[in-house]
Amino acid sequence: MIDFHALFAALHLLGSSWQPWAVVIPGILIGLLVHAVPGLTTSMALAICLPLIPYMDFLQALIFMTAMYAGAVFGVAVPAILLNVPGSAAAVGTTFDGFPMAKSGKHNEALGLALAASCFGQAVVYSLLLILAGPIGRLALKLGPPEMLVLSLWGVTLIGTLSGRHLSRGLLAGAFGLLLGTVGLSARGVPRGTFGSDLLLDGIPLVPAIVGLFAAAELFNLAGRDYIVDDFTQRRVQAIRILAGMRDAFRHRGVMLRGALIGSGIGIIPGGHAIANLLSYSVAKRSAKDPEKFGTGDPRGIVAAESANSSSEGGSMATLLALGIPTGGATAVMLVAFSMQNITGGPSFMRDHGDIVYAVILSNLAQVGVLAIVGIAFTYIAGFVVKVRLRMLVPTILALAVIGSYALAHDIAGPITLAVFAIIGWIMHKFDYPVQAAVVGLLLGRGTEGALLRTYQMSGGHLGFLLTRPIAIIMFVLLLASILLPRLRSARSVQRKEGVLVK
Amino acid sequence: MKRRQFLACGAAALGGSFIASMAGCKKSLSYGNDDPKSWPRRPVTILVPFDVGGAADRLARGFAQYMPKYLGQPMTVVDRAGASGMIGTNWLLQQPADGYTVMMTPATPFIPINIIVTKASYTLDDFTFVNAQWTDYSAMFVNKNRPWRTAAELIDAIRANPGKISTGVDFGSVGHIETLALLDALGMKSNALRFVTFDGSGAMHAALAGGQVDFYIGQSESNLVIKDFVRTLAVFLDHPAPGVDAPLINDVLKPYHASVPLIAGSARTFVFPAAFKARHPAEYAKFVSAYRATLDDPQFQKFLHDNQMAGEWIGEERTTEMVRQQYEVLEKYKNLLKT
Repeated sequence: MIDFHALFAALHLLGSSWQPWAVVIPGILIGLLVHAVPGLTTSMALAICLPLIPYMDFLQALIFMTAMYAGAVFGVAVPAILLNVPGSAAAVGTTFDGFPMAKSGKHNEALGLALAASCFGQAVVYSLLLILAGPIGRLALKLGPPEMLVLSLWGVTLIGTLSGRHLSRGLLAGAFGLLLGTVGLSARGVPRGTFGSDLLLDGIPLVPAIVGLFAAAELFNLAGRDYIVDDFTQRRVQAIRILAGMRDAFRHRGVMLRGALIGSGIGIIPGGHAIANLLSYSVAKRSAKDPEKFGTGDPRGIVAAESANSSSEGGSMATLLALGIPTGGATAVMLVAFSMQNITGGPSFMRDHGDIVYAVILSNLAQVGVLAIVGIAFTYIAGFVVKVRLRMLVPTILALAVIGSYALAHDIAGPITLAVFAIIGWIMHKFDYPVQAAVVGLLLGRGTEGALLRTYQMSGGHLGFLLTRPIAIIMFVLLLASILLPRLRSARSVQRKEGVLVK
Repeated sequence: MKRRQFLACGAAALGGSFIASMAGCKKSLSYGNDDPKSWPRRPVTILVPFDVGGAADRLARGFAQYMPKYLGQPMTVVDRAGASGMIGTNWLLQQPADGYTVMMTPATPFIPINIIVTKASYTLDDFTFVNAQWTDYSAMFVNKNRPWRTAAELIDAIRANPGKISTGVDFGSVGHIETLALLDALGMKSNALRFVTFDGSGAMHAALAGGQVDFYIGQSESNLVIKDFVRTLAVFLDHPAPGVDAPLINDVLKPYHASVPLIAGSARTFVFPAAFKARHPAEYAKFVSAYRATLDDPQFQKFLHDNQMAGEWIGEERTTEMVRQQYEVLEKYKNLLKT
């Protein structure tokens, strides 16, 4: 399966000169910084850097982009752990145990755990791609609207069951997010919920909306505290403890490897990266002997979420690398960058440019190693947040978020969206509805509705069509099982307990 | 003491530069906008109403690199995407019509689509279309694993199994209208096909390559991406396309005693608000001559060639006619879009 000729050509290309590698550290830092700021995304960072690409030679451009990608994949975990605000939806699962760890003074270890798991997840997925890029890419093309629909529903259900204390409120919040996600011009050309405004034709601007929801729910919540870490003696930043956290991750090798494999698989499906971390987290929780520990600062929770979200980003590159067909924002920008270097995509991509495909994969693997080191320095500096009084920190973050939301859209629609969603988030939090569920729903809403519509259109209205989609059916059965089985089990254990009482 | 001196120096420097800039302002005011020879006096913004990295954006960036030599001022590219180009186009019309903002866009199909499908507040008369320099055409593609070898086989299959064969469309696009026009010409209703609607052509390409849909009519050049997964059954042109081994659609339709209108695909052109040319014809002429000089520049020609773009000169009149023709066809078929 490995084309050794192309592999050696790739090694030759990567090793031809050392100078292009000078962009690795700036690339990783840009990626880390952009994703450590909630709301900014890899595709934005890539798009901003796009004008630089024609001035680089091909190898340099390639290394720069993969470095940015590697940094971005880990960056999302940093605010998730330190502030309970995930850098993107991919890190929602990281907050569940990351923030409780940080609050109890184990922020160094938590960041170390996340860094190690993220590097491990990326290493696994790129190793898989190195061997299986072709078959994975072809498999990805077979996954169409029905599979995407089931996966999205699974994602919303998972977040509904995982977050908050009440299942019904979790699911309701998820459904609310899904509905908000359908605002705008549908794929069928019908505008809904736009109130006649052109600005809403593309839907609710996701970035300010998500920042608003989290900002209100989490940051206002933080504002009542003095510092993130209560205990004065624990408010320290120590590289040695970050390293200890990294070592600790490898004590949970099974959880980490399972997470990496789940992420690699789910990541192939467009939109999968928002779901992989939740799925991995829930599997880890369910298969643990002591599931009640999850959510209170359990290292396994961080490891499961981070290994899965990092590997899922690699999975989304499979179709780009194998077939030259982009499936998501970041991969589309990468393809544009290739075309700026006169390399066009297409199924012949791997055949004609096998050396480049392998060079991207190998370069990504190399970035993982660099990320492990740069990441220690970055998390060390980021860790100093625990020393800042929250009454200084929270307003600063909010002010930056408002400015950022203006800069993104170039108009006041961004800050207005942020303010409206901050109010919605505050209300949800007050009445104990999990904000995370609404965010995941909002993110998946547009895609879910499109997938439902296309599934219906493809079927021509005949239910028999579903029988031709075995993967979707299997996924749906797993989805039902994942909701019903734990409930049946707990019901049985309640019965048993009651039985004991009667006796 | 030192600190105070330093502050004083700083204040003086600031004050000095302020006065200098005021003087500059006054100078520019005194010349006014009346002197076309002095236009442009400041950098010109190229607005792209689509995302960074798309065809229009890459073309605009090419102009920003090569055209300032002939225009005498730098050019910067600004992308304002949204609502199929409508957000950016509205923004263009909100700017002063002084020629300092020019739009680079696929005027067809998007401006007519904005007006007819998404009910934009502008009309075709609000714009001056400089020159459609790079125009695409539609073609009919079928997934390679499907049995139909020719367009006639596919048409017969649709007739024999109405409502069974699926096609992908980007809602309101040229391909969508061509598909509806084809069914109409063959005397079939739109429910003869399963229309699967996609957001943008990228997802549609993957869907055809993966066999999620059976066939579609789409833009020829963007389908280069999936060329190994598809067969080209027909091209929507009145002359054979170089290097494409497929018949002309209206030749295919002759035995059926039918024909379809041939709508130009994405026609990338510079667009000004109409008021600019009306009020400042000399400045407009100056832009056009700088633009034509850029098109003739061998370095720019090389840039276009390297990026697989085109730089033909067909002029304002033919470009406007192209946009109008497409508008009329869209107007004719808009009722079909509603079903």
